[in-house]
Amino acid sequence: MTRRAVVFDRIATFIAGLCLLALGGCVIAWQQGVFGTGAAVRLMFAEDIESAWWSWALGAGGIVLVLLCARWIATHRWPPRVSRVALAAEHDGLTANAASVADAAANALQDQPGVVKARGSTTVDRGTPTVTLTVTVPARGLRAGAAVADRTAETVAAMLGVSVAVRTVLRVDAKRRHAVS
Amino acid sequence: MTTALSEPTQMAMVPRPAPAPVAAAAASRVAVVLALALAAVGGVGIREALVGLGWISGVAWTPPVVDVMNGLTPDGWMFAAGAILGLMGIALMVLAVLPRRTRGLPLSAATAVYLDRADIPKLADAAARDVPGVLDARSSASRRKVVVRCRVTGQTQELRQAVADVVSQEFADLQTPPRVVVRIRTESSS
Repeated sequence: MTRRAVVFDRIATFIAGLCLLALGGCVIAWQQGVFGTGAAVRLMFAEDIESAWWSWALGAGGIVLVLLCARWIATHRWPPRVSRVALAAEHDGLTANAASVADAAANALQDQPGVVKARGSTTVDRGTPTVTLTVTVPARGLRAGAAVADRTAETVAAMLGVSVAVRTVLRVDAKRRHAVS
Repeated sequence: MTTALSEPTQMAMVPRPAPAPVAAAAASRVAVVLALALAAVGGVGIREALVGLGWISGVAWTPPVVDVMNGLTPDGWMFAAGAILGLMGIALMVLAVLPRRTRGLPLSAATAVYLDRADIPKLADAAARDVPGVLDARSSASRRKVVVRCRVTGQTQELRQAVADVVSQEFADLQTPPRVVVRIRTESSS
């Protein structure tokens, strides 16, 4: 998800909440006789539903609503992937395949004795191209896993430069308690 | 094409640290439900249009609903309905502004290394089970506290301290280690 999509979700949710609060308040006020004492609901379009244009309007409105909602739901996909990133100034004009570097880093990590499994991904996180290495370590191997992750992250930085952010997320495999070398 | 990653130590440099991964915003979950609900309303509209135009057979749903709504007068149940709607509205407004929860706890490391928050109890369990005298351990974790429940044999007080020390040691590498609380249940040896 992009930041813009999250902001849109927040605004839409807030407006929906505001509408529900206003509707609930109006219903209570009406029931308590604050306004329109004893008056009945008169729907403005009650007469129109027999009109010839009603079905067309309803159909067109329905199609637009479904399309807009499909577009809205589609914004909740996985975060945008990064494939190529520009290298530092001394390599002017050159780009590197960050996804391949992330995969290679994961493969290198997987070969380490204190690592159960590893995978790498490249996304845009809060506006910055980011390599995320997700490393599963044994339950008693957190310190060793962090040390290995440090070394690998430094190598990734050496290959891609500091324009790409790097992080390692350590997961714990509860079934394996100690590293097997 | 594959890329190999050797470890050229002379090239190593400190990477730009990435922030901790965050969970999806609560508002985004609500938004998906809202979008699905609105899409369903749109689908009903399309269905009503097709029925109204005679392109499909069926009974229109709109006229009975409009009949019920039209002429509605104040009634006792509306107070409760209004209150429920209002509370739902307040809940949605709160969810809309809730910050996203971070999923990772930072470790004291040279680069940006995070421990997945969900794995805190697994670490505590494994550490506690390595203490001699502990038969089993089950942990639960909140944002700032880990509660380790152990079944043990032997001296309760000494084991409590030993488990607390080992588990605290396990979390020593976290930048903000959680508070460790140990609850002991002694098993009678048969």
